[in-house]
Amino acid sequence: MKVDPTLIEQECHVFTRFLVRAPATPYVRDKYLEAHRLSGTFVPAAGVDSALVTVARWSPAVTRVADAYARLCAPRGVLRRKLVLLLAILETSPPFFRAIDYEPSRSWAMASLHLAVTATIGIGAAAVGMIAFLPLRLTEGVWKRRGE
Amino acid sequence: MVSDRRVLVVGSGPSGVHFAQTALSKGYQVTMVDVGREAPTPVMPEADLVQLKEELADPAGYFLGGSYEGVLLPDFDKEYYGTPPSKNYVFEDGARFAGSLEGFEPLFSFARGGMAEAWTAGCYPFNDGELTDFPFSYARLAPHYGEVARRIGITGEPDDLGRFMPLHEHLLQPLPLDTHSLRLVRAYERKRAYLNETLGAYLGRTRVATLSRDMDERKACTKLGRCLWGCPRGALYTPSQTVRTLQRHDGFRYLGGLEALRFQIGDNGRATALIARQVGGGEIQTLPTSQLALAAGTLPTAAIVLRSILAATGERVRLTGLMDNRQVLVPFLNVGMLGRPYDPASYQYHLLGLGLSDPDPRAYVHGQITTLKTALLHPIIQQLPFDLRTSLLVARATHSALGVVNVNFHDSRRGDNWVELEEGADMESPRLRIRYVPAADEPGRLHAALGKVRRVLRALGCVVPPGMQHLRPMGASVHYAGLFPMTTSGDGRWGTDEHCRTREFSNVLLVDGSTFPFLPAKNVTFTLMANASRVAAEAL
Repeated sequence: MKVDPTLIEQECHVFTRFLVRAPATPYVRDKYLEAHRLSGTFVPAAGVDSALVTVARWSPAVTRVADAYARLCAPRGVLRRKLVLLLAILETSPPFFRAIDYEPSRSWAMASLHLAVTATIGIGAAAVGMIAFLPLRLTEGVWKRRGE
Repeated sequence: MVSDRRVLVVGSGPSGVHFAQTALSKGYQVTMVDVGREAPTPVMPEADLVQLKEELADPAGYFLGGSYEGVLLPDFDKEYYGTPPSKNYVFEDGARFAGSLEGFEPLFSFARGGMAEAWTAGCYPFNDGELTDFPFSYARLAPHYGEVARRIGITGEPDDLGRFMPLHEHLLQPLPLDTHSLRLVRAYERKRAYLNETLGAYLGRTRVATLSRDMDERKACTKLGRCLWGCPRGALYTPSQTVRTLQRHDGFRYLGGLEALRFQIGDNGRATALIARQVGGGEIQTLPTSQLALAAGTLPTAAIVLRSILAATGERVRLTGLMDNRQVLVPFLNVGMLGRPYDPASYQYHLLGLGLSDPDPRAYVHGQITTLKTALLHPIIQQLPFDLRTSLLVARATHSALGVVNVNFHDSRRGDNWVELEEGADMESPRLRIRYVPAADEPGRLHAALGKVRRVLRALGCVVPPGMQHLRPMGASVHYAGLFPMTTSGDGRWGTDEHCRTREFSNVLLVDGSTFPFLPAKNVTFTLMANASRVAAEAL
């Protein structure tokens, strides 16, 4: 597949910071780019699918919101595919696999609290994502129906 | 008894290798015909999973594959087996066997060692209740269970699951339990009376063909956490290990790279030669035989027999009675494990089993409990209902608390479920057409048993997340059986006698699962090996 390496590398950098709070290593960047070259599955279709990827590239915080929306409304879309691909690369690559595999030991109460706070943040991201992107999806739906 | 002490064996899976080993011990000359795709050499054999990730030059290439086939993307819409790239050879090229399929999604293997190269090593002897439809009782199979256990090394101990699984000889000391499994056992001990008496549920150690001590060239499990990717120490038994043992025997000849297509039938109704083709569409070879043992696995064996009949008589036969175990995956979260870090130095597969009793012993339900240890997590993380960062943190926080029960259900032979050759296909090796319809009472049985499993898990302190239970398609368990059932009555043209000898071809033995007249809820592999050994001992 023909891909724009600069764009993919930039995207990899932002998405890695979103997932593991650290910049991508050259190895991760190369693997991510290679996967894009090998498969057409990471090319976004036009419309909201493409817009989600474009917006998600802005910053890790925006990636989170876009991904939270995508998980609920476009779980098989290109943004999710790209992020899952990167997650798979990160969980098999040093040093990032530790950030995915390892959890510090906590008391049961602290672990439960941590889990509750994490889930609350996730729900918040989903709420923001729905507010930000659902109108876009609805508008696209209206345009498509008019086109038919 | 036959005077010619030579036998031609097709297939190197669990049945083929143990049939061959017993035949050799009786002084037979054994030739094994096999496609025999080989496993790659294990990388860094002494390294654990963490070391692999840290020290391999291209760790993502190893774990995800050269074309990233090990990545489970969200739009994947087939059954996910989690087979890593290092096990690609097990299922490579198998799909071309299957023609049109209805209600059945079979897997095929051309690996040296067969499908069991990718098994999880569960070894459960059938009891007398489960052998009711077989033309022999447990007592006749017991010495062969013991012999196979001696050969391959099976760990286990007498416990509450013993009421469903007879104890045979040569059990090794069980593998140590991980923290999560130990916690489940302790919870079970506290709730035993309720679970046993109210639910008819019993917990115990699964018996697994994984060594707890060194045995010949194989080394004991040292918890490298690499089971799924192929145990580099050989602690987890696979049939290709027996192929290597057989190859050291003077009476054994291994013909790899050959795919058996059919056998020639002489005027007296006996098989006279095996027709095989070199892999890759190469030359056809004719191998004369006086005694043929088909151990290619139920479906490939059926294909060989059906092609042989078609070539000899032009008759297209439909074989009925195909069976497979229905499997349902029930994930759970053990609340009491929250806050504990997971230990990557672990044995990955199941160490505990759950048995649900039934007044009819044939209706026993068996669950294998696997606590989550080393694994690729992206398939799990993406299932959680959050953005991936949040999901990652949730998965990390609950890693040590997660597990899954693989619930197995029995199957019986029914006329609705059949296999035949596809018409209009390549006449030298036509593909299989398969139809499977679940039993009418299946929904009710599953509902009742899964309700019990959830109650058991709750009693053990676990939560079953709603909507995460997964009904696997028929074919997914790869415990195929039943097309040439053993009977003593002599009924049925396509049945076999108690020695798995076909009624139509007196010198053809079927020594894989095709002859099983009933399929209990247990993993069938151990019984395949024991029965193959029995057939070699009794029929040759």
